Order: sequence, then C-alpha cells, then structure tokens
Amino acid sequence: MKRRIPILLAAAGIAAIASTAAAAAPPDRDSGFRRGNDAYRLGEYDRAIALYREVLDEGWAGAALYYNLGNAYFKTGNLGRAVLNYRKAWDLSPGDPEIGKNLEYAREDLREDTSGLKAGFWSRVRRSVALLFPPAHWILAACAFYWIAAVLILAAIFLPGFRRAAAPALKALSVLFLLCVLGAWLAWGYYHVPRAVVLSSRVEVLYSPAVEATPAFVLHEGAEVRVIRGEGAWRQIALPDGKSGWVPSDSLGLI
Amino acid sequence: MKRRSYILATALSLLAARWASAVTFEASVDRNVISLADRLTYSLIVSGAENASPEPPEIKGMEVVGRSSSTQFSVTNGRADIRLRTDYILVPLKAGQVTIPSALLRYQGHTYTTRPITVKVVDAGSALPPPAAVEPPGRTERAAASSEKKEPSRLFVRSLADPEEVFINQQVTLDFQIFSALEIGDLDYTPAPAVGFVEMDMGNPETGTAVRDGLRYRVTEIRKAVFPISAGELTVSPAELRGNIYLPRGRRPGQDPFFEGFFPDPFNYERRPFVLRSDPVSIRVLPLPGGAPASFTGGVGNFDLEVEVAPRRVKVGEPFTITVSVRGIGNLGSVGMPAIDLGEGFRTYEPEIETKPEVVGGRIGGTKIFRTAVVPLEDGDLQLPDVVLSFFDPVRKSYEEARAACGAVSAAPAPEGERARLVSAPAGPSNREIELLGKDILYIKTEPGEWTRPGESGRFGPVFWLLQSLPAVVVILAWRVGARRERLRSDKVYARKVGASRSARRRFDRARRLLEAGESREFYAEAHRAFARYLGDRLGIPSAAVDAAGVRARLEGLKLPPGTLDHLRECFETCDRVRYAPGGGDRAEMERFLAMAQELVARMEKIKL
Repeated sequence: MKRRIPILLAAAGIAAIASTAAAAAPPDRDSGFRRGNDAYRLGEYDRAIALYREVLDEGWAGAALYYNLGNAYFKTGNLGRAVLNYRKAWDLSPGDPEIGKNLEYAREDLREDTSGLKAGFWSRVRRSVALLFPPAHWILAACAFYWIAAVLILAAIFLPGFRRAAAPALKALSVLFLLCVLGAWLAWGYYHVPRAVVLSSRVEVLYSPAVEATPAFVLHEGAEVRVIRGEGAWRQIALPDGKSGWVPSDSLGLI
Repeated sequence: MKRRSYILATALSLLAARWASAVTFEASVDRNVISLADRLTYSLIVSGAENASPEPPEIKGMEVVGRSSSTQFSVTNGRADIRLRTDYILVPLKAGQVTIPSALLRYQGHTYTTRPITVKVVDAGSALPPPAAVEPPGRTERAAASSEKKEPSRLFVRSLADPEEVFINQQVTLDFQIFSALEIGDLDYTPAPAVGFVEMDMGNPETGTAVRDGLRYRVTEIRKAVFPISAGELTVSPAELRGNIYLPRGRRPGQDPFFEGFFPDPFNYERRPFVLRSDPVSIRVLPLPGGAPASFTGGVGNFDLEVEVAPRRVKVGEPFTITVSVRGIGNLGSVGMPAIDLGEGFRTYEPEIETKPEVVGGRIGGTKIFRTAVVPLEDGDLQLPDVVLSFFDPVRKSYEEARAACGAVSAAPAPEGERARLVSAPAGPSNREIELLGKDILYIKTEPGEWTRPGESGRFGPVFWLLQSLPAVVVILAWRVGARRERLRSDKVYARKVGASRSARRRFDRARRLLEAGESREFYAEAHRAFARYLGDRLGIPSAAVDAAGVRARLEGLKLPPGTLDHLRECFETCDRVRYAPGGGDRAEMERFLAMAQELVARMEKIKL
C-alpha cells in the first residue's frame, strides 16, 4: 500500500494539471471566426462584428479576421472602423489583393484621403518600400543572401579553383544583402511609427492640447494619420504633408 | 499760467455742482431680438456726472466681447452738460430669453440703477431673413425714436433658382449664396437634395464682395445645375451650412487700440459654431408639348450636329466610322443617338458614346459624340442618309431640327473567302467592353489563415538571431584553417617547424620498436634521426647539416632551461659513440639514451624559437 501512495499522488497531480490545462485552453478561435462569417452571410452585420470582436478580445489577431471585421463595419456604414480594420489586415498581410481592393474602395468614400497627400521624399520612399514587402520579408531575404554568401565563402576557402568564379557572385550578394537590410530598415520605420485612423465623423485638429485651443484644420472619419505623441487624453497627429496638431485620443483608432 | 489754471478749476467746480444736481443713468440695447450669429450693443448712458464709473451687470447667457466709451460735453444757455456713453458688444451664448439685469452707478453718495432689459435670442438660421426682407426684429423704443440706421444681419444664406418655371429636362441653376460680414471658417456645406432632378456641378464656388444696407459682405456662391425629370411642382429642399464664427475676444492688455484694426491678432479669437439653412425652393416643371417629331431623342436645349465619316474608301467587310457630334447647350445626358437609317446593305455596331460637358455662360452644355462602326456588305458607291436630330428648344418653346449630311462611301469588292465569312458571321455587337453594373467591397475571407497575437507579427525570436551567427563563426574558423593550410603549403620552413614534433614522435616510436627487437645500431640511427631532424626542423637547418656544434651555435644567446646545452651535447656524443662503436650498447643503455633524447625534444618543445 505504501508503494502505491506515490503512484496515486502522481496520478492525481497529472489529472489536476490536465484539468487546469483544459480549463485554460483558448476557445476555438476558428469556430468564432466561422460563426462571424455565418452571421455576415445572413446579413447580420452587427452580430458578425460582435463575434469577430470576441475572437480579438481573446487575444488573437489575423489578417482574415481584421479584413472580415472591416467588411462588417463597412456594411454597417462605419467607414472609419472599416478603414482601421482594413489597415490592420494590410499590415499583417501586405500585398493581399482583396484587402488592398477593399481598402481602396473604402477610401473612395472618405471626405479626405490623407494617404494620397504629397509626402516628403523619404516618407514616399519608406512607404513604397514598406508596401513592396513587410519588414519580416526584407529581413528573411537579407538572411537568405547572407547564408548563400557564407556557403560561397566556404567553398572559395576550400576550393581555390572556385575563387575566381565566386568573386562576382559574392559582390552581387553583398549588394543584395545591403539593399535588403536597407529595405528592412525603411519598412520597419514605416510600420513601427504609430498610425491611427480618425473614427469621429469630424474632428478639429487643434494647435495645442486644450479645448479652447485654436483649430488648425479639420479631419473626417477614415483619415489616416501618424501619431507623434500623447499628452493626457490628447494625441498629437501629423499628416504626410507635414500638417500637425492635437486631437482627443478617443477620436482615433490605433492601427 | 497759475491764474489761468485757477479760473479753469473754479469754472469746472461750478459746472460740476450743477451737473450733480441732474444725474440720469439709462441702459438700452440696439434691438430686442437677435440671432445666435449676431452681436448686441448694450449701452449705458450717464448724464450730468463727471468721472462716473457705471458698473455693468453680470449677464447670464451672453458674453462681453468688446467695450467702447465716449464723453460728450455741451453748454446750452449757460447750462453745461456732460454725457458719458459706454457701449458693450455682447455675443449670445444660447438661444432663448436673456434678461440683462440692472446696471449700477454710484456717484457722490447716491446709487442709480437702470431697468432690466429682456432680449430674445433665436437660432441663427431662423432669425435671418433674406436680405431684401432684412428687418432687425424687436427694435427698442430708443432705437425707434432715434434716427440711427437699421442694422442688417451679418451672416445669412439664401438659395435662388433660375428660372423657377421650366420644361422637363431644361436647366435650372440653383445658386446657394453665403453672405458674411463676420470672420467665418470651417465651413461644411451640405447641398440641398434635389429629388426628381438630375444634378450637375458647375465648378468651384466663387467668392466676391457685395455691399448691402451699407455693410460689406463677403459673398460665396455655390452653383449647381439641375434638370427636372418629371412634370409638376417640385421642391428643392433647404441646403445647410455649418461652420464657426470667429469673434475677437477684445483688446489684449497692453495693445494699442490705434493698431487694433491694422494688426488683427489671429490668436485672440473665439469660435462660435453656427448652422444656417436656406429656404426651400419651388420649381414648376411643365411637360414637353405633344407632336414631337420621330427624330426627337429627348434633348432639351439648343444643339448643332456635325458628322464625320472615315475612311470613305473601304472594301466590303471593312468597317468605317460615322462620328456624330452633338454640340450645344442643354442636358447632354438626355440626348439620345440620332437615328441613321442605313438600310440592308450595312451592318452597324453599338455606338461608342463620349460626353464632354462644359459650362458656357452659366449654362451646362458641351459635346456628345456618338461613334458608330459600320461595315458595308455590298460594293459600289454607297450614299449614306443625312443624320437628323430633333430637340425641344425651351426658349422658342418648339421642336427644332438639326441636320447634317454623311455623304457617300466607296466600297470595293472583297475577296471571295472574306465575303463568305461576312455572310455567315453572326450579327450582333463584338469587341465591346464588359459592362459594369455596380461596385461593392469584395467578399469576406472564408478561411481564418494565419493567427497571431496582436503586436507579435513580424518578430523573430532569439533562436533565429542566434542561428544567424552560425555562418559567421563557421566562415571565420574555415578561413583560419584555410590560411594555415596555405602557409603549410607555401612556407616549407614553417611546415617543417609545425610538423617537427609529430615527426619526432613517429621516429621515437620506430626507435622503440627497434629497441624491443634488440637491433641496437638501427635503434641509435633512428633515435639520432629523430632528435637531429627535430632540431633541424625547429631551427631551420637542413637535415644533413645538423650537428652538435651547429645546433649549439644557433641556441646560444637564447633563454634556455639550465643544462639544456649539456643535455644536447651528451645526446650527440652518446649517439656518435654508440653508433660507431663495435657491438653497440646493451638494452639499459638504449633505454637511457631513448629517454634522454625524448627529454631533449620535450625540453625543446617548451622553448619559443
């Protein structure tokens, strides 16, 4: 009997751990996503929004989830939140043609499309590079060139006859590697500057973070802005063409 | 000088004594009904009191945005009078009844008060009648009695329709005018929804100035053209304008009033939102009269026709294009393709339509081009019929006709095969663009795809970055190995030096085996080779030239462990002695020599050469 006690204790421990793990297991995110889709198909867009948001609230995100949520918001006429979720989807899956089309379509209805404003040279370069590939892709490409170069160097070390052929290839790989590192840096700079979408139908951008401050210009729902800093319930935002000012933080949705 | 001052002071004292006996204190407003967009002038007038300081009341629902005062002296029939007037510019904060409480004047121990005044504040839009009917409402008794000029509204809008009676599809110009004598901004214009009309823009708003009732207004006109599509009494709903009025907060401390008008302070303004709505506009739409000709395609206005046929020489089966340009004033959207009856000898395709609208003298018009591809099915000189377009002219109130000649086309016979194909080809449009029916967002994604945690996308873990150091480490190691191999290959001295110890060990092993076999002569020869070649390799001396004197000479001057040179000499001597002596040494001697030689090599290994 004494020998059996540790075995029983171990079994009880395993059972307890297993039950705890089962209780802590995340709800089926795929099922939540599909239930949202079902509601969308039935035209119950508000219910679809609630179901998609449940998955988000569980701590999960995905390009398809944000995209579908954007669609549901669009169908309910909530243009600002539609643009916000399309942008989130785009960040997770840049180059996705469906996300790109819907984002473009939603932007057609905006009062002002800040994404089309004439930006500075570096901003335009950064944006173009970031929209070409996300930072992770640039990094992976740089790593691939680096590994190939390492293999070529090893071959050149141990095979002297290969050195002459390897030299131009190594030069080309070095250039590609440096370009990819530059691309990663530029894309990272684009995606890691906090961005936001105006959710209020109309918001006055003020010269300073105070209600009585002088308004500088007006933005409408769906306009995309860069967030420079925050002060209390205010956020300083900037447009690609350099215009800047303060808006209440609750008028923005961070991408 | 002193005498003059005395006289003046005495005179003023006497006058003051008289003024004090007839002090009056009154309050008035310039009108009793104002809109939220207007300003109210509240005046306090003190008569017969010198250096009086009236205390204005605290007014709930209004804010003081400006203040001015003036003093007037008069002497009539020896009776001096002084009149102090202080005007306060008030801005209403909300609509409703506002009561201005009594103002107070404390003067020479007496207290004077004014009567309270009630002012009605109405919504900006509803309080602003059109300028022709501007009638400042609720004039006060004081104002009515005075000869002061009426003050018109400083901000109003109006909608005009020109003309107000039209035929179906005739242009009506809706003109939304904003009259502003105030600083306004952040304008958000919501155009009037024109139900039952086709709307067309007429370009950007135009801004100018106009003077009305002595007041200079900045006038902004937003125009659009509408075309009624059905007969009857149609109404264009009110247009709405939202924005902010920028009111000066008053003079800042230290600011010289003289410069106030010349250098307005852009930051010392207060915003007041306003909403203005224009009046609805009624338009009477008449139906088109009956008896329209067969060539009438719906155009209302005044149009000309122009026809171009190209090329004029074709083969049977080859297309030519009839380009019909309808140019003029009117809604081109309602103008249909003029009919061209080409008969059986031609195949026609759906026309390609291009519209180039333009605004000419405030009227919508432009050019509508119909390009029809036509294929002759018979050869010969083919006469094309005239193109006829009928339209309704709303000025003449009659149907008019425009006509243009097409001329002839010469069609050469086609090869037999081409003709056969032409005859058998199915009729109907070809090479048309895909017709777009609508536009909407793309459908939802049915698969969830890759899941991530918010904020974790695109991040690489430490294992990834650690793995990236692997190629660098491998390349550095490989480079070092390669460099060593290269040196061993190219530098013989270095190669001998590096391989000296290993080769000595190998020879000592062979010597040990000879020792075990009892072959003393071969043993000593091998043991000698072992340490002699080792020394030659280490010191860079050719193997054949290694002897005790030569090695000693190379080692002298180096920091050597004590006894090394003696040890070396003993090794060489022992070896020479035994190698050339008959019979060789016994096993113990060989063991001792081997140990001595190995010891010598071990000692030399520790020396850095």
